[in-house]
Amino acid sequence: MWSYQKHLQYPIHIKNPDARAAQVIISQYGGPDGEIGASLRYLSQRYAMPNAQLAGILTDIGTEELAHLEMVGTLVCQLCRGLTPEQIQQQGMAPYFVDHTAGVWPQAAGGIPFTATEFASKGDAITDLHENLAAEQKARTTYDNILRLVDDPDVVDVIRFLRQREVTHYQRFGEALERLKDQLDERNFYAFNPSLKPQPARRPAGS
Amino acid sequence: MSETLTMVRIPYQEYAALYSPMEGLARGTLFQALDKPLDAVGGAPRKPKGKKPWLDYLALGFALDDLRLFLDVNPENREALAEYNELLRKRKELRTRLEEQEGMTDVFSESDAWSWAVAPFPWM
Repeated sequence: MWSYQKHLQYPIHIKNPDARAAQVIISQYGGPDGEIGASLRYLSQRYAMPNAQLAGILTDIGTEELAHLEMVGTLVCQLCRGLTPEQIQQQGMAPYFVDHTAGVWPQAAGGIPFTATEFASKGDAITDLHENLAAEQKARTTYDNILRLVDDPDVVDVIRFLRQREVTHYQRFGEALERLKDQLDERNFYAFNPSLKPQPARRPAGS
Repeated sequence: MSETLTMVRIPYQEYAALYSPMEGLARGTLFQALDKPLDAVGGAPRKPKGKKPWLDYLALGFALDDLRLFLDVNPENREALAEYNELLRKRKELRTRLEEQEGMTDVFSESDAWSWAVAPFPWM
């Protein structure tokens, strides 16, 4: 289960509100490659993992992604703080404001709401680890793009941190895959699904 | 393990070349070998901002988070485990001093005044 620590993983103190920045950063709150998708992906996949090592790394990275979700929500909240509706409109955030005011809601920058179709939990440990390698790269690219669009140093510091965590997670999922391979037969990694209990061989038709 | 057709291989990271917890927090990794910044953003990351006892506490917490992930895939690494336990010890000491000034830091904090839903939350 989870309990909460009353601090962010990395400190955030935004001095200059900027709804334009908030609009692109919100993609890491509720976009296709954002933190809530990452967290739900890993926390969902862990149930089908065949051993404690894989369940552990998925639980720990999934939990860290919740901490990152909190950081992104904090950025959106602080970037919109104190802005008048006129300023929000000038900065292009009127469509979001009309439905959410200055609240935080999981959607992509383009307005698409977060959906479970944006992640996979395939029930095969090899497949899920590959899904996760890809997910970390997609998140990294999204942070790269945010860095190309935003230049407030108070925001850039936080985004650089979050981006580096994706690179680290990629490495860990790769190592987890190596550990899994150690337990399989390298002549054929795909002979069976390591997440399923041994299945009896199917009977030939007619017998 | 050697390379095999139809499967990727990612090399293991060695337990070496660690940043300090504060430097690690600034960069987003304890391990220099994994530090891969985007060229388009110039300069080294700045030191994180905040009150000192909190910053030191955050840095220790981050170092533990990053080491935990290393230990998850390298559970037999005794050096990493020793470092993890040492960081835990430092964080525990700092937590006592921090809570005297700042109140409850998590749901298992002892206190003589319920500051949990009284003192501001981290985004405020």
